[in-house]
Amino acid sequence: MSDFKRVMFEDWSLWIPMVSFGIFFMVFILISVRAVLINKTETDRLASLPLEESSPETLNPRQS
Amino acid sequence: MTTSITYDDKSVRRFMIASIAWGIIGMLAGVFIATQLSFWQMNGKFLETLTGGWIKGDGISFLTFGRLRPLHTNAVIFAFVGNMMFAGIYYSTQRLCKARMASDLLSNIHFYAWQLIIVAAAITLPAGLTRGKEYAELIWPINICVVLVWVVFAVNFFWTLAKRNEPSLYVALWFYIATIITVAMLYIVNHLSLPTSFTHSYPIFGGLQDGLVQWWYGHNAVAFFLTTPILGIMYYFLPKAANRPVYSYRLSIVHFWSLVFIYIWAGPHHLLNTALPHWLQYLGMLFSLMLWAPSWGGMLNGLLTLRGAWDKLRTDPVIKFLAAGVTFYGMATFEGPLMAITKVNALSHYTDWTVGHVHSGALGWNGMMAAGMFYWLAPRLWKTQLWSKPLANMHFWIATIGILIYIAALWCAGIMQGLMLSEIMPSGTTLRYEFLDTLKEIQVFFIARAFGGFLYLCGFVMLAVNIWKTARSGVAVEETVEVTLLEKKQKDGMGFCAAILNDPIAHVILAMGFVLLWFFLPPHANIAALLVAVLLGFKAVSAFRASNGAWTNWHERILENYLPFTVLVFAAVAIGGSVQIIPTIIVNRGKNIEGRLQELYTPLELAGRDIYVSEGCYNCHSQMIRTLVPEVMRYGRPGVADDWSHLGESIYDHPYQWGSKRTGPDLAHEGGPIAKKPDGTLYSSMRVGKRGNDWHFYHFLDPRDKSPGSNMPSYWFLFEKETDVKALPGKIKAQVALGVPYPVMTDADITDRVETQAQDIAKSLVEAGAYFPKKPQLQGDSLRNHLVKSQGVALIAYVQKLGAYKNVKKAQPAEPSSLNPDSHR
Repeated sequence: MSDFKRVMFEDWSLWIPMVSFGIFFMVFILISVRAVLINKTETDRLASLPLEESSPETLNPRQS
Repeated sequence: MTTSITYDDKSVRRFMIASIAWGIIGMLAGVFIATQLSFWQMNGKFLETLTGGWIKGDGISFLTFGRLRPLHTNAVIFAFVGNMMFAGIYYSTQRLCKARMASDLLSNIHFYAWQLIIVAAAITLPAGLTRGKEYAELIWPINICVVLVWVVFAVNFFWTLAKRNEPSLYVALWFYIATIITVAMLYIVNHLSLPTSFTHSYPIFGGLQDGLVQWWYGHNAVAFFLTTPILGIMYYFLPKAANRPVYSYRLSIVHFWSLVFIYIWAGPHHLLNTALPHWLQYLGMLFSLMLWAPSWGGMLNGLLTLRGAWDKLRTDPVIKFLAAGVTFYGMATFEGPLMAITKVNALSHYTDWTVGHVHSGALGWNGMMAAGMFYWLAPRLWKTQLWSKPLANMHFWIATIGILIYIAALWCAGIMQGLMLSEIMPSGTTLRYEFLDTLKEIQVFFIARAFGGFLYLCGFVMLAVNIWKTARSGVAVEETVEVTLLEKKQKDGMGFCAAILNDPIAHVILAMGFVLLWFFLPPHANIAALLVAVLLGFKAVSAFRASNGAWTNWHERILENYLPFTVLVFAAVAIGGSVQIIPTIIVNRGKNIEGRLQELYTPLELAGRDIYVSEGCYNCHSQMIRTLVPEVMRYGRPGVADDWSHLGESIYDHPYQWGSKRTGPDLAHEGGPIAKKPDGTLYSSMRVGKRGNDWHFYHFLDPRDKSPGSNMPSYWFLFEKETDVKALPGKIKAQVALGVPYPVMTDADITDRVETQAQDIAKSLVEAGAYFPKKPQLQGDSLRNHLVKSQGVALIAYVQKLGAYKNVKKAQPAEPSSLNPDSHR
């Protein structure tokens, strides 16, 4: 609890946003590195998923 | 091995039609309440003219702005965008998973139960049944239904993922997963309440804590209900409409994780310059500014998907709407962080600039994306052509012009009012303008806003006609496709343990969690958390060495395994929420009250407060004097130093009522001390603040009588309705359970206290010559006996109490401890 009080009342509480920013920055760098290194063939395949024509066999009139 | 799959397009059609119908109702309510801001007669008086005098009344309770504004916001968010989102998710999820929705029964329950919830909201909100928190107004039985229906939706969605015949999860599905997980978390936490009856409850959080939880929810309702699902829809429908893949899949990965991780931290920017601890304000501002990057990354990814297809803008209304929607997304997400800068926020907050910003997102982003998606879906769902492209084009232009008028009008209104309210005379001791002066100045913009909204509504009616005619010209179809069945080992092969326990990254994430625990846990426990964090760090290094580089595929494997992916998303959103919420839960139990501790409401004042909440007064009046010189000059009390709203002044308020918009002035310090009797002795509980009881009486009857030019509804009906005194013992019991240190009171004590205070107020009104025009025959004792029981008197008691506090000497250094219920009376 005393630790927490320091967070509320002492100047170093202002470091919390900086620590939070640091955590985010780590995540951001990790994800960016992964995104850059990801295989291009794989990204092209994933990007085209919505465009895979489902080649409709039939369009059935609604049953109900 | 292949098989035929027939998609459930019936559910898509249902949600789409429901979205259009509720959209028109929600927008109509918006236009209606917009006119109320310019013409007070729209709060009920107009019915007198329309019915030839059959209905009488300057204001009608269920038509007042305070009750209808929540109806508008809830209808647009949960009914219009909610149903639109479900239509888009049901359609795209089935195609991306190459599987029918897992359960028709769950789909049916989801659809019908969601519509019933909306109908229940449409009945209860105008009836004044509300929790008094923005976008979280629905009463607790409806809250439970919402959670149950959301669970049904989630089960159906994840079950479909489990049955999928495509190994990879496309980026749209990631956004849907984030939506389902995060909305559930936000909704449940912000709606935790203690019921006092079937239709009433108190939020378990109070004061600052309630405000922070509320905007953690409110801001992220925008993020995860109005943004992430629509981004998923963008990533699916924009490539379909443009017939080309998304511009950069790599950018979409960075977009998703950055957005999910950052958005959840930004809620405190709704409470800048208030009593919120500074570190939380900085946190909110910092993460809001960081949102610029992923938001614009997503916008550019969307717009650049149209590369090579820009010529379609001339001919294809679908592309027009989607491109405009994404552009508005970029504009709104630029404006939001800008307004989260503390100095800009000092000007913009509590003004119509915020309302304009919200509508550039709701009308521009959500509305345009919905229209684009509906125009694309309708011909496919009914196997026909769109009935009229010219009408769709007309819709586009009328909607665009409507939005621009709307936003520009509210920019002007907000900035002008913000500047006027903060303008100080050259002497430096007085303010240049009264609040009412500023309200009169922006009336022209209010009318322009209503006109812009009306144009947008007209456009949406055109869409409804177009879709209706399209449906009539075709036949409802269910698409059947031939798909290759996946073997079980080809998908979701990564077990939960494999995802969480066997990779360096997972260890790092766990270590980060323990670092946070080290930060917040009490002595000894914090050291243990630190040790675990260090051990996890070593384990991460050893896992990295042992994996021989194979861990680099971790992220790719996660994208093919929906359960570990969902857990990771939950971890990302939970970290931000924990850092903000846990400390404030602790602080509310401590003595961090900035030297002022709120005086408890008397039973009558508590009843008045519930009426204030029920009438939705918080929609126009704030109770938070920010730490800004002009605000303290305008709303502070004469002779009271540093009279901004201190943290402890609202610590027992369940719910908090700081508000988010001032159509009327702030009321935080409207009240005053216990009044003196003519003989110099003090009343037992009756107070008089900045204005007398009779001023409030006539002001509630006809606000323009005391404040010429006011657009506030007439609340004469509060002097016709009786205060529910019988409910007070239960309510006080609930307050005590929530930590409000009321003394022990029997039911008879409560009734006696209510009677004494109400008699004193009613007597003061009669002695001041009060006259109740609705019942002119009442005078003297008969008038007093009538007023004593009225809700109006309870509301006067509450208003006269606002801002009452006791000075509490601040311990140096401060030492936290639980409040002793008897130590502050």
